[in-house]
Amino acid sequence: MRNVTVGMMIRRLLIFVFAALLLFQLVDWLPWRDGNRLMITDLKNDGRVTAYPVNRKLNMDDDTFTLKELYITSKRTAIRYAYRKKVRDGWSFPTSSIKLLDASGNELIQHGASSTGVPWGENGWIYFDPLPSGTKKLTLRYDWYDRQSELPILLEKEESTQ
Amino acid sequence: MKISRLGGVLEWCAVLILFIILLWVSGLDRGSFTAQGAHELSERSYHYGPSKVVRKVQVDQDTVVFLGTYKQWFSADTVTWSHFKWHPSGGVAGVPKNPEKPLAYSWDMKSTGSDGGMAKFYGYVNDPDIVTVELGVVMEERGSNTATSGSERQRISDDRMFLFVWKTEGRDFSWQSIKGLDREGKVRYEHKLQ
Repeated sequence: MRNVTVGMMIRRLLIFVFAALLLFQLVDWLPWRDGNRLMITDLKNDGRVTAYPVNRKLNMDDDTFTLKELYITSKRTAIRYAYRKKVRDGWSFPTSSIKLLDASGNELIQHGASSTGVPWGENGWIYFDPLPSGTKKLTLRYDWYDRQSELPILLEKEESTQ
Repeated sequence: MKISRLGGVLEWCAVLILFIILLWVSGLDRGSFTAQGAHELSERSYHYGPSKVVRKVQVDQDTVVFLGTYKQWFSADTVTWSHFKWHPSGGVAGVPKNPEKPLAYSWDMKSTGSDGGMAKFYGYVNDPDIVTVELGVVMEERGSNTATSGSERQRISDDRMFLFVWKTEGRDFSWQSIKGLDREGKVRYEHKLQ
């Protein structure tokens, strides 16, 4: 009888400890804690922000890169991406493989990137030079060693960032 | 009695499931049980290769360098053993072989870390007449500020690659020059790095 109680205490203690540790980790992944709002607030410092929902995917080996949205301000162009890995382990996504080309094929200079890792990949932002005004279409190019692919983007539907 | 036993089994199952989720979430399941596995993981996640491993260099018990080529690039992908598994640790990026040049090189240095730090200088020889490479290097002891300069040589084999590697052990490294020598020992290529 005594053994039964000890066993019960151990397993319940373990359940409690593991669940608590998990909760701590899960809090980090709450959708409103992913820093996107902060990034958008930061973009608004530039003045008017125009957002274009894109939601298009690029296959990279077995992984998937999704261009979620494109943001345009007078000072920069920003993209928000989600990256899903088939094998979660290893290096983080090499963001310098992503180029943006304006309508006349000129490459916009990349000015940095940030990302948050999750067990299934990462979510992040990449920043580029501002687009020439009146740009209606551009191209996202994946260019990394012998891997190349392109995603044409038409800037049509705007989305309010308010 | 029977019901309470069933409850116990269910609770142990819950413990196990929570533990597996926790491992996954925390990333403690990362890494590979073999050096080769960690190397493949490194290249796959970097979206480079898979390269053809021309030589595997065991630097010490916990460090392996995979010298490899892939199309017009070469690399010296390094994996290290820590926390009971092998993990990617740098040098995965392919460097252009630059066939118009006699030789192409790259280097990286990690002065600290669990592995005590490592300095690598590696390259690919295009010129078939270069049979030996010579690297001039100055090592400076960080504690005592004493510097030793010297040069190291390596013969180029059929794989055309070379790798000079040191554990840094509190030393700073600066490269002086890289030379390519022919069969007679004459300098065919020299590049000052200082």
